[in-house]
Amino acid sequence: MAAAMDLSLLPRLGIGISAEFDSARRGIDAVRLYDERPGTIDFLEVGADLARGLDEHALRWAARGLPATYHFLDLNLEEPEDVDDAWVAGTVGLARTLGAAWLCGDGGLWHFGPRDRGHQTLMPPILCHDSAHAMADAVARVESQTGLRCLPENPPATVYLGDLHLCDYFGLVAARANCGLLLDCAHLAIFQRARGHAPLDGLDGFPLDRVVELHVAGGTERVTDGFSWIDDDHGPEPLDDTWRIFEHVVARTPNLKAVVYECERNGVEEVLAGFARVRARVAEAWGA
Amino acid sequence: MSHRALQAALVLAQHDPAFIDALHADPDATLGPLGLDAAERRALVAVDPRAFRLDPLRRRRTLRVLAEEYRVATTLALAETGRLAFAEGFFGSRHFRRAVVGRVPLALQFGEWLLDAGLGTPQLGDILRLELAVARCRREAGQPPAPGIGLTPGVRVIQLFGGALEAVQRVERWLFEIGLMPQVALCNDAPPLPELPAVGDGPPLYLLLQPSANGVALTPIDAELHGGLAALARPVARADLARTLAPAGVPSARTESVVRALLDDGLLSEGAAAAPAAPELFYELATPDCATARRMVLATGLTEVVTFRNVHYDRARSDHAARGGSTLPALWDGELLHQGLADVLAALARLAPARER
Repeated sequence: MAAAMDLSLLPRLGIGISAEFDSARRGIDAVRLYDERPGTIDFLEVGADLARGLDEHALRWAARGLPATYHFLDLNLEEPEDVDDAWVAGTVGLARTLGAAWLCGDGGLWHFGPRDRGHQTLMPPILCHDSAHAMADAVARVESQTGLRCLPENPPATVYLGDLHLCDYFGLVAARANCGLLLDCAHLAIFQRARGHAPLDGLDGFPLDRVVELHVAGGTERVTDGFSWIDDDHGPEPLDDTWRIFEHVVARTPNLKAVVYECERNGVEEVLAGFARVRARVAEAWGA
Repeated sequence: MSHRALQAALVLAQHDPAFIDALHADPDATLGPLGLDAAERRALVAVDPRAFRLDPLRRRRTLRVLAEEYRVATTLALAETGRLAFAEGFFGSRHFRRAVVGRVPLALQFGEWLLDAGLGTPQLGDILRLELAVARCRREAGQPPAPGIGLTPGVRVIQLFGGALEAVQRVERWLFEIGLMPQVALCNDAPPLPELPAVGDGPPLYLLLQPSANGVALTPIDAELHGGLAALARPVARADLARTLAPAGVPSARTESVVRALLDDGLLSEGAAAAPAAPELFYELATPDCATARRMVLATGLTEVVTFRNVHYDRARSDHAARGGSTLPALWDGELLHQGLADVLAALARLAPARER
């Protein structure tokens, strides 16, 4: 319960949109969306790495003093030694510039071997106890060295190895690191489909009281050489499985502070309905 | 479950179609050297092979980043081979495997792979060595200096054919022109790759590479300075400076003043003396004798005494060479280097009872 109490102190950010380096030039500009469509978004989640830093869009949002979170794209959260001094110093600098309420990022591998420019090859963790323990140690190290909360996120993949269910894996991480969690509903839907599970399988043992942030995003069902899979393409329309997971979880997460609809690559008109649906469910959950 | 070995195998499977075929044809031979146990091998074999191949651009994205760092060399290599498959062949190479399994920077292995590719473009070798040296400088800058006096980490010198920089600039201009409108590459009247200065024309070019605010700065230097700095590419003890610099034409009477000036300029650094040496096992992955030696360290309870040194890493490789190493495995006991499996096992056997006492 101590963890839940601690997480409850984090600020409630509301509904947000994601952004990556240069995404506003080809997709949605969050500052314009905030100004021109009031009530659509409350905060911005900036995906960034040290090699590229913050782009003009993120800096423009930060200059307005609007709420933000920092989503790292360059830390191997499955490898505690990747949390080195240079990464900590650089990330803290960017997060402070942004005024980030917390750090978050996919729990897996963004690069193989030493951190280097541009790998951007997101690999899922191996779903076993040793890996979960390593990730927990990395999360704890990030939190102790940055002074910021770090929320590991279940990553997407087309191949998952290891015996654990994704929910059990991140439950182990959270218990050992005493950390909050970011549950990506679209990524979980991908995992469930890949493993032949129903959308809500495994959530009964998942520590929902540790979920601080939820992600919702569009995906596309594809068939390649006869092999069925879900492409995590962040299109405008989340799959039914993703909505089902989101609407189940959002009503059961007492420490939920933020929901990000990852849709920045689309047109504004394409995603307004999605934002409205997210906001309605969150309002119900928060009693507003 | 050794998740790191399994993770490495997953990376290989997602980048190298031949690896997928091999792991199905002979799982033990393919996955055993990676350190996967029987259950892990079964888990990997159980994956539908099509699932590894769902992202056709994965390798291309990685190549794009590598080609940015080796812009000119990659251009010349593709101009010579005329095949994208040549570049994608990197992912089936021992160099790629070394990067993934040995955890060596991928960009450095790509450069080494190009060097080993046996291409014939005369200018390619020197240009590749230049781009590889720049890549190394980027990654070494800011590292603490090794014990002794030597080049500051991130500083390097290199000797190239006289027209090397002009060749680089011509190719860069061509890439810029093509980059303005990539569709131009499809046209019959597209600008051809320019003629490059011939190797052997004119005197050699000596360059100093230094970290700068924008990356790595290249400065032409004279042969004398190049010789002196090159002699100290590997750090030496202060007492050995005169002997080391003499072949580079530095009179012993001037050694101290020359070294002092280079230290003041930041081109040389002096690292603190190393702590008393602990036993070190030099090895490489996927070599049966080295695996036997590593297992012996574990079996004799020497894991907290013997430091594992993987020679795929530059520092370990140079330390191995500096101690006179020529074969693997090798055990440095603080005074002597024991080489070959038999000598290493014997030395470990002597260490084990000594520790028990």
